[in-house]
Amino acid sequence: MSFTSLLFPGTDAQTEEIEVPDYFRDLNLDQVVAGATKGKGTYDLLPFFYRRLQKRDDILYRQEVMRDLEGPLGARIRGFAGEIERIRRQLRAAREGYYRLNKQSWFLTAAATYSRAIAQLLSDLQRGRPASRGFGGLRDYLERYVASEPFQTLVADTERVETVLGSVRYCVRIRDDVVRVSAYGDEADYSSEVDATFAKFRQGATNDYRNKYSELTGANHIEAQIAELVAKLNPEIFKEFDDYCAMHTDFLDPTIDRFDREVQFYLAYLAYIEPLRRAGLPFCYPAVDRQTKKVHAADTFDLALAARQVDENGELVLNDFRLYGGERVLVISGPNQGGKTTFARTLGQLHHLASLGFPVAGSTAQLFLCDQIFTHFEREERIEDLRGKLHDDVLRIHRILAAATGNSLVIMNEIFASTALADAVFLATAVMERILDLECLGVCVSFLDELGRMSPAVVSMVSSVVPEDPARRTFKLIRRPADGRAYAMAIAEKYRLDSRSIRERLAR
Amino acid sequence: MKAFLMHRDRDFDAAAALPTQASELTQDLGLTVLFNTMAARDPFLLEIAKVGIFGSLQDVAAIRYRQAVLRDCLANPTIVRGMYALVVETIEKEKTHYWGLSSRNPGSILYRSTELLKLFVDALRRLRRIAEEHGASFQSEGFVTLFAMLRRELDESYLATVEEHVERLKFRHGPLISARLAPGIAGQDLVLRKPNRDDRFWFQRLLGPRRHSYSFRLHERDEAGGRILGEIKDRGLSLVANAAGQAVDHIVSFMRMLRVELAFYVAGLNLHDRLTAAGGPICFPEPCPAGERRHRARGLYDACLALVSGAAPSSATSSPRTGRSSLSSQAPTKAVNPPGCEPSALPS
Repeated sequence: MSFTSLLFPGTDAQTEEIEVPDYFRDLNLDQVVAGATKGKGTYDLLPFFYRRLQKRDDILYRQEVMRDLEGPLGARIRGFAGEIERIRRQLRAAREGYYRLNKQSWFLTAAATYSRAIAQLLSDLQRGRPASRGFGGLRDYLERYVASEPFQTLVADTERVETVLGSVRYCVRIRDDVVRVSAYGDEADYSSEVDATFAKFRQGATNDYRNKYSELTGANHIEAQIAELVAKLNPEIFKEFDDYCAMHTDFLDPTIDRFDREVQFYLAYLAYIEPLRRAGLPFCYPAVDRQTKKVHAADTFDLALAARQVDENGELVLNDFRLYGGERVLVISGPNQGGKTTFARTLGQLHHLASLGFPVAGSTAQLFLCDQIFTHFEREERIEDLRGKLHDDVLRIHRILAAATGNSLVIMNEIFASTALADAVFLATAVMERILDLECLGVCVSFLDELGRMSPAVVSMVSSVVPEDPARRTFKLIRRPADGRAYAMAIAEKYRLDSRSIRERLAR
Repeated sequence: MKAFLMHRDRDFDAAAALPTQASELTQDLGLTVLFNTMAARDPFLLEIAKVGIFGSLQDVAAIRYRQAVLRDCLANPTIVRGMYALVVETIEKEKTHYWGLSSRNPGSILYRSTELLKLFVDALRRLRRIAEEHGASFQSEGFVTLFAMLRRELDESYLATVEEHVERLKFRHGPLISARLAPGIAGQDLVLRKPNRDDRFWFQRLLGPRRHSYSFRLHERDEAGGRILGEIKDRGLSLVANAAGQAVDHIVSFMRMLRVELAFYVAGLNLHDRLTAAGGPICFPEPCPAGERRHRARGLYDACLALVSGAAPSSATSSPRTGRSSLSSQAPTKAVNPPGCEPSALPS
């Protein structure tokens, strides 16, 4: 099997255009992707972040690659990526420069960098013994590529021309506005002569009068004119150089070019989670499956929130969840600002990122390989829509329920919050019944306790508060029936307004 | 190059710390008057006088070495003072050449350095002439060695070489800079070169092939080009400017060293002049190893008192003593210690 892509096994790489998924903003995945791809705009990585894989084996292919990158091979691959970046800069200088010899020279330099980088990458892959099919395939591909005649010719020609050009030495004499270029004739180093003459007076340490200068670039009309005269002094060498540039015009192998872009997808995500890992947050490779909906995760968290918190040295609460047997839908309730929405997002993020082949937030995770993800989060009312909020809610949910299948994940956050309680219960129950009929995975954040008691397939989770101080949230979500009074009771007890306290006081 | 007038084998450490009891000693022995006389209002001499007086020598041979140098100074005061003045004048000259705004610019470093080197050549030549003309009247090992070194190291052919450098460092024909090719066909490893001499006869030069070279001329209105050319030139001159700047530093440091080595003796001459004017007798004591504890002195008087009153004290008593005890004072006497012979006499 020949290697074509580090992102997709086999040759059926998907390349068609892809839009931002609808749920990206709701799940704050847009923040995650923006953070991960920052500074990598030239690689055009966004489509990779949008496209969820549907086959378990495709995900495993990426997880293998990712594991290799997390090992010692990672630094080597990063080094190679840095070299390719340099080559691109050099090629840009060769393309966009103004002066003939300057451009040609950057082309030669790029080719030399390329020859060395490829040889280095092959040796790194051979010595690194990658376990993944992706890197294994790349290694086999490189072995053939390096042995191929065109590459061998490029290496040999580049080396030869580099050597002869490196041997050129010349002298420039600058007198007023006349610049004279001549061959180097073994003239003595005058600075050391001056140095030697006065050394005998030396009594101790002396000042350093040297100035720091940047390297000359060759990219201006003066240096270009000097270069042309150097070429005139060394006609054979520069003829060879000319011929070389005419012969090798395009050396970057398309497969390696593609590999360079694709590997950035992995490196971007690894770099994004690196500070979170350093802050002690756990990541794991999730088991993904299309067969079972018994999903669970331990010590998981909202990636976008975590990135912000780590930036600001804030605390982050880790949460667990687990669906058993026929359980399908998580109903999340509890006090406001208690972490319900964050938890719902976390679940969505886990499923999206897992289906990209990434390690996800948590110490262990088993996730469902869903065909689609739908989210319904509260939106600002828009006056030009000419629709009421309830109308809008109903329309959106209708669209979701029409498109969802038994293999979808539906996340709903505070549905029908804009309407009267009785209407909300009526509508939400109807929606929930439809979801239960579909048997798809569902997450529903709601203040309606009724939803949590609808069916054995529904699991209720409650965001908890500190018992002594109900105003303080723990941001911990606990599997517990929502009795609709838990939070009210906590507050009542705190202010000694519960029936027992009142009775006690009346008795006195 | 070393002067070694204070020690036979090492530099005099002008920055040496004074002993902890220095201020008590100064007060108890009334040394302030002595120091001020030696300094003659020169703060540098004052510093050196203190370091010299308190830096007692422990070794008889070392004391004799210094005594011999001092004897030469007493015999040739004008020449020694002249040398000292020449050295000070040269050091001061460096300070009059201020750095411009761009002390890192090779052009300004070179300009300043060549101007100073031109002055220094003159000073070095005068120094050698002193050695040539008056060397014979000096007998001490210290001066004989120093003068021999000055004659040898600063001979005319050497000074001619220096003058050649001063001339060449102006680069009247433009600097010749060698380079190799870096990526971009840019010059790298820029090294300033000394043009090879053309050894051919004039007619060969006229008829033979010219040195293979091509040239171009900067357009007169090309300011950007001029700037770039200047930058290339600066890179080429950077190392040689460093060498020239350090050459100045080297000569100045040599002069400073000479100044330090001469200063203690000049201070001694000052003291000698004042004491003699006051009519006080002066002698070189005979140093003995510390363990022998032999002391004999005659006609002792308090030098500081004499310096203050301007006359040799009439109370000077003659109290010859030999023996193993230390000097006891029956009268207000104190050992007079001309510089260079104080140590074994100073109580410790």
